[in-house]
Formats: sequence, structure tokens, C-alpha cells
Amino acid sequence: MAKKVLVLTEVKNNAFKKSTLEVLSKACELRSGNELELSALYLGATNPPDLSVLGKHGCGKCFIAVDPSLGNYNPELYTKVLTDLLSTYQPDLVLASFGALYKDLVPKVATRLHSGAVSDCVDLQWDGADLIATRPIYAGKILQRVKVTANGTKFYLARPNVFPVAEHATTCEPVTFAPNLQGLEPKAIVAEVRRGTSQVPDLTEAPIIVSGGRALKSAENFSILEGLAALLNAPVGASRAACDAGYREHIWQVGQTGKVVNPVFYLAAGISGAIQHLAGMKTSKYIVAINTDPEAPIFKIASLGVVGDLFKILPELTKKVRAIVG
Amino acid sequence: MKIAVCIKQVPDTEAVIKLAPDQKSIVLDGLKLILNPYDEFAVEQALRTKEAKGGETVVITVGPTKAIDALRTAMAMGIDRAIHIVEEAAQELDVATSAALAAKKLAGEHFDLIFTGVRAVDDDVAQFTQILAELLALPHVTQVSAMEVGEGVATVTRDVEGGTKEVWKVNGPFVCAVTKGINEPRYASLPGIMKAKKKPVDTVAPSALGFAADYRSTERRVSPCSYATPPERKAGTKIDGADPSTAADKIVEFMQREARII
Repeated sequence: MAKKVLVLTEVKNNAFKKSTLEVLSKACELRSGNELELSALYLGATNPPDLSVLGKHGCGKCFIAVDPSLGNYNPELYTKVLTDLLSTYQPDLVLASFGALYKDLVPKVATRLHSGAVSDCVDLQWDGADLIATRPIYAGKILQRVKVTANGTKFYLARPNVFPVAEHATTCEPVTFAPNLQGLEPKAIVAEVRRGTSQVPDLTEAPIIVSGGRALKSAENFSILEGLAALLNAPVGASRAACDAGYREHIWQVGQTGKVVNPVFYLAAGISGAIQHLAGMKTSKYIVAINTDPEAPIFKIASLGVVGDLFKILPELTKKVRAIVG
Repeated sequence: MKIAVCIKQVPDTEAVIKLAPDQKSIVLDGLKLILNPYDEFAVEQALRTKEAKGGETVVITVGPTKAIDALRTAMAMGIDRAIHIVEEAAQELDVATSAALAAKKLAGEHFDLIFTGVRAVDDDVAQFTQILAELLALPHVTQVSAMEVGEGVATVTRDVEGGTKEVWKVNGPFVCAVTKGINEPRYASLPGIMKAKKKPVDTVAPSALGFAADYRSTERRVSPCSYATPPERKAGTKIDGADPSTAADKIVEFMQREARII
């Protein structure tokens, strides 16, 4: 009998997020080890975006749960809808991206169903009928292979930016799933959402990141990175030293006590490469480091290391990149 | 207000982590152990809330005998008393089991607020808060970077993604996972450290909470299979002594030909 796999979708700016397509693509790949029936769930206050993009990535069916109260994230209401659907549909696996939404929601849902979830998976493979996840622990110093051993639906959360998006064309059929939220009055609600002014992707999902360290010397000097970052549509990250010195808000910190990132391209400007910073970015595909100290530890992992003054090199670099992309 | 803080003792973030020869476990012997950095923010927020509203602060952990050091650190910062659920093999428990132990103990007292750190820097699971809240039938808010506690209602800011923030209103007791940026944790003073030695510690065995002898396997939801060390990353090309324009040219060339991002 085919295993049922449900992928939880996420929408941003009225389009399914890339991280959702990554999870769908990985689910399609898992069809080679076991026969799978792949479906998705959309939750929201309004109708979903065009489902054809889900079909393009191998999803044959999407449950659609629409209710005015599902506009802002609410753990209690979302848990009710999700557990109702899971109790009826009874999938073997639930897959979702380990982003702010499902990182928060899925452990609650799994607990209510007496099951468990694996966080932050960077690989998923079959071992017979068991799905085994690989996940970094101790900030990537160790890789752990782990599986959900609870009975019933098993939950796995995939790290964003790890699984490549691939096409597996099919047609995605909508299936209405009417939420039953009567009588629920959550004690915690989102009263207001303050959208970030920045249009760039979040650190954890960005394909390109431009980061600065303590060598930037001030919050104002980060502007030297912002020009380049804007040209590349990249967020500006920072080391712990830079954040602790107040040069940049903590939400932009990369490292063991900040965000763990996994971009295609990571530029480290004036970052020496403390173990705690390296732990958060060393899985980047390409790393370019600029530092005045030729002995800086960052050079031990950089694909391209440039010994020099960032205050002189970055303006040149920005000018040259602008000439190409601007 | 009665405030609890859940903490975890973890290896220092600078520590080198080694595997046992059979690759089935991690060797923690001899490592410097610290209070999980995110839990320091939780302890600080509990202290500030008490300073504003009055009441009592209690720190709780599930951990081996040596985890008492982390509890004493929290008490040296100012927490009033501690609960130590002693489990020598705590490292082998999954998050659902640790949360079940803590929930059983916390349910025995009424807390108005329960703080946690947003995640522990050892296993990076980031699920304890949500599981604990669900088991206690309380709401939770994670990634909290600011909060204001009013009369029966709290206003809480949650960092979402890319600079977006949600402002939550929470009625009644809840579990709150704080992140860096919410406060600047205080250092333990010398008198604080001396006082902490005399503060009460309630030492509890899992059996005293009604957990059967085989609870480590029966409560478990997630099981590790094996461990590995990731491949070492090798250094690539290094350029030294180039003038800024040449250095920039090299980077541009790398971005175009290797990384192919422009």
C-alpha cells in the first residue's frame, strides 16, 4: 500500500514559498524507495495562490482549509485544523520546512497526536520502511541520524535552502477541507504584524548573504555592505561580535547563537571566523572572505580568501558588481 | 506572580565535540559545561518580571547530578529556588520525554509565567517550549524579543522572519521562549554566588513523578540511530598583497565563474 505523505505549504506575497517547493521536491525524490501518495495542505484566510505550481513539483492533491480566523498565525487554531485533517486523512508522514511557522506549530501538533517530530533535517533517506533524517547538532560539529519511532503519523521538518527544487509535472487537484473552529477562543492571539521594511529574503532562506564583523567598527559602516547586498538582493548578516557591539540587530546574527545559514554564496567581510560563527555558515556552498589578518581562521574554510582592507576593497567590488548587474 | 524558568546545561559553545568509537554516542566527559546561552535571557527576563510585579522565581531542569551547577548559576543571578529532576542519562532522552518530566512537576504548582530559552545550543531541537505548553494546556509564544506584562494580559513581540515581527496579546498563564536581544543578562555577583549555595533545591526522581522504570523507552517519540563527524571543509585560493581593484576583480570573477550568482 502506498504511504501517504502530506506536505504543509507556506505562502508569502501570494505565492508558495521556495521552501515549500523544496520539501515537495524532496518528497517526490522519496518515491523511488517506497510507493507514495503525495498531497499538500494550504491553510489561510483567503483562497490559495495558483495550485499549478504545486502540480509542477509533483503534488497531485491539495487540501484547502480557508477560514477568516486563519489569517494570522495562531497555534491553537492551526493545531485544531491540522489535527482534524490528520485524524481523517491519516498520513504516514508529514513534511514541512523548518521555518518560523512550522518550527513553532509542528511540535504542538505532534504532541497532541502522541507522536514526535524531527527538527532541521538536512537529509532524508529510506531505511526499508523507516524514514531516517540526518540533522546537524552542536551547531554542525556533529551529524545525527535519527527517526521518529512513535506510532502513527511521523513528522519531519526540513532545513530551508538544502533540498534542490526539481520539476515532476502532474496536475494538482484542490480538495476543500472545511475547518471546524467553533467554540475555540485562543488565549494567545497575534494582534498586529509589523512587516519588515526589507524586501530581501530571510537569512535562513537567502541564496546570497553578505556579512560583516567587528572590523566594520560601527553600525554606520555597515552601509558599505548594504550597497553590495542590495545589488545581489541579499540580506546583510553579522557576526556575534558585531551584534554584541550594537552594530546590527540580533535577528541578523549568523552563528551558533544566531541563525544557521546555508546559502550558495556567503561573503564574510571583516569576520575573523570564531568557531561559533563558522558553525553557523560553514555549509555555505561558496565562501569568500575579506580580512586584513592573513592568519584569520575564516581563511581555513573560505573558497576564496582575500587578505586586505575591506574599506578599500568593498567600494571597488560594489562598483564592479553594479557595472554587471545594475 | 509565580514564575518558572526551564533551563538546560550544555557544553560550552567553544567545546570540541567527540564521538564514541562505535559512533553511537557523543563523549561529553571532561567538557566544560555551561548554562545554555538562550536560557540566560530566560532567567534574566524572569528576574525582571519579578522585580516589576513581585512574586517568586523558580528554576527547573531535567539533568544529571552535575546539572546542579547550572541551577546554582541561575540562583546566583537571583532566582529564588530550584527544582532538579535528576536523570543521569538526560542526554539520551528525547525532547518529548524531558518535556513530559518537566510538565508533570510544573503541573503540581500553579505558575503564572513559564520561561524557556528559544533553543538549546547542543541538540538545536527547538521543540521543548511547544511540547511543554501543549502538555500543560497553556498557550505558548516562541522567538520572543520583547514583552510587557500587564494585569492578566501580556503583550509579547515575536521575531518571525526577515525583520517581520508579530505583536501577541496573551491572556493568563503561558509559556514564553525568549531569544537574544530581549535583555542583557546580569552577571552573578559574589554575594549572589554565596547566597545561591544556601537556596533550596527540590531534588526529584522521575519515579516520584509517577514515571515507571522503563519510561525512557515508553515515553520516547524520536530515536537517534547513529552519529558522524561532518567532512572537513578545505581552504580554496588565497590572495595576499593585491591592490583593492585587482582584489575586487578576483572576487567578481569568482562570483561569475565559480558561484555563478551574477
